[in-house]
Amino acid sequence: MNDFWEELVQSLGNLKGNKTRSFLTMLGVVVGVMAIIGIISIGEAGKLSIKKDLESFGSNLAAIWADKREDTVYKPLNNYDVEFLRSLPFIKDVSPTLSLYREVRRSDKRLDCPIMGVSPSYFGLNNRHIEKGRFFSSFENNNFRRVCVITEGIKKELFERHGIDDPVGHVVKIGDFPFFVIGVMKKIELQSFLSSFVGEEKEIYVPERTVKTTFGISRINYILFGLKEGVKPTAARKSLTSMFRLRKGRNTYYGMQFVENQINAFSSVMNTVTMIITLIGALSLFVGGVGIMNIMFISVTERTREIGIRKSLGATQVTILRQFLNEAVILSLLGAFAGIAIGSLVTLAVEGLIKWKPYISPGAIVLSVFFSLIIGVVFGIIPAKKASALHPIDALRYE
Amino acid sequence: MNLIVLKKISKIYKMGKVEVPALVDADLQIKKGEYLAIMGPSGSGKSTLMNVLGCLDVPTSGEYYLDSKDVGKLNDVEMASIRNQMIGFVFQTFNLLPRLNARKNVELPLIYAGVKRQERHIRADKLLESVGLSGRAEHLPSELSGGERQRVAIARSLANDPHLILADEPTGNLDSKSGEEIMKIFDSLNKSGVTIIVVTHENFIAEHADKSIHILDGRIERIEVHKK
Ligand SMILES: Nc1ncnc2c1ncn2[C@@H]1O[C@H](COP(=O)(O)OP(=O)(O)OP(=O)(O)O)[C@@H](O)[C@H]1O
Ligand SMILES: [Mg+2]
Repeated sequence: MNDFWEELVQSLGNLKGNKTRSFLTMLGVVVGVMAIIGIISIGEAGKLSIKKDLESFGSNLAAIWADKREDTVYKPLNNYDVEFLRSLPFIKDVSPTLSLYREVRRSDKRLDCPIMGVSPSYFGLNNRHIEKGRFFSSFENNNFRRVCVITEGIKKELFERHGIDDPVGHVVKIGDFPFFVIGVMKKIELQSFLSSFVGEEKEIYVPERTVKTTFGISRINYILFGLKEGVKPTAARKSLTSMFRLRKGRNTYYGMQFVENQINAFSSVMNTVTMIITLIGALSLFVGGVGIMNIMFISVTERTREIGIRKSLGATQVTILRQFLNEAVILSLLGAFAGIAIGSLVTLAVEGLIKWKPYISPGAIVLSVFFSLIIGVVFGIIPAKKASALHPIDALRYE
Repeated sequence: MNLIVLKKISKIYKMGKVEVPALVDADLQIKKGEYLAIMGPSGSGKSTLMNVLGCLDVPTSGEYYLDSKDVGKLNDVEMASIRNQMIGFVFQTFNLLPRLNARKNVELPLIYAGVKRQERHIRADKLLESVGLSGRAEHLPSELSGGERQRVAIARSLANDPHLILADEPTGNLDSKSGEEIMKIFDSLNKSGVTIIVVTHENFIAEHADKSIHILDGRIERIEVHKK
């Protein structure tokens, strides 16, 4: 009676005697667990990689731009605003961004592309790295030097296709003005689906002051800035909003965005999605549980005589209850293990296909084993109770 | 010393509005070590009496004392313990578990008694040997003859050294030669002190016992003492 091992062996024996049925019964649990393992693992892996991508832009990065709403007037940002932002204690670094379209030429190749006027701190703020050459310096910015940093896309179009591997030191014409190429930017390496938004960059970066003097353009599209460590985006937004009202007038409006907020918003969306699909998996587990209950009822009926015999030999109600409960739990646990195995393989395959790091959520494994155990007990208990409550003689007489 | 005392035991089945009296006011005393046959026509209540004696069935009224214990006042665990320790059943249809081999079948009462694995194994093999089946331990019931199956069932009923063997037509499904072998086992068990109650239709089976109890329509008609 206290021989748990013997009970286990007998339960397994009974399940083995009905292999096809046991397998079919487990199927619901298998599918449920597969769903849970797959979705949670892929969801978590996705969240991680997207978070990493967003962070690779610099998680304390933020931007502010002049906007117009129904009851406000549009008042563009200017150099004084840049200097003002730079002076604030909770802001680390600032770069204005001016963008314009110009034709870019090198000998007889032409290309229409966006020109970005930025200050040297732009690259650090954005976490951008150099592939060849260097970024421009404050000196070059302050002295309106006609130098530029190009991206991979430009390098391909204007140089590599024409046999030049290293564009550094060459001259390109932006509009009517010659610029020295001093650096090539490294491509952004992204893991998540965000990479499809970035695509191949075709931009040219030039010092913002050079843009003003050379092209006569002074309208700042937006100002990038970095928050100091530990500064909360919500707090920053609040004080910036009131400060810009004071500076620019009560009837102005400035839009702001914070990467940290984006990360949080994205995480919470992903959490919701994961939760919903986990619920679907749990639902499928539940359906699997009903299947187990169904089969256990059939099994109790089929084995009524066996129950009678066992009782005539000294089995108590508790013994019989445990026997049938064991079988239900073993069924659902076997289903869970099969689900974990198959689910993990499928998950790894999917992750391999979309080129993510292989990742199986340990939490999902614990969760599904726990769930299945509960399912086995909850759905096994009713048939087991029915079996244990049979009167010995009624069970023995059953044909 | 009485092992069994029945006082006005009745068993009445209700079939809708009709009442079927299977056993009526049975008074009976059985001493330790007695060898008893229960005889009577089909439907007279022999099996009903056996099931009450074996604590498999609960009487509608009356009192049953087994080894001085009032069986009517016992709970499930105590009843199970009596079936496990005190009583050994032998059924007409053997009632072996088809998926377990002979040894495992014999081990069942030992499992419920909490006997350890190795000791169980040894005892089951000894029991099988004592009924002449030492070579059949690994056989499934379907791989045994009727007589062999019944001998496995007897070995199983003896697993926990019961005081009482209840056999309901143990030879009913066997040819006369196998039946005779089974009865020989009972005879020697009785010689070693075990109380034996056998239900039978056959006089030559009943003659193995000390007494025959004749039942008719649920009533104990007469008790016949065999001269040996
Ligand atoms: N579960 C039951 N429900 C209703 N009536 C029953 C039930 N079990 C037995 N009976 C009736 O009780 C009576 C006695 O049955 P029992 O099985 O004790 O007879 P028996 O003497 O063993 O007969 P046999 O020699 O054929 O085995 C019979 O009339 C039978 O129809
Ligand atoms: Mg009968």
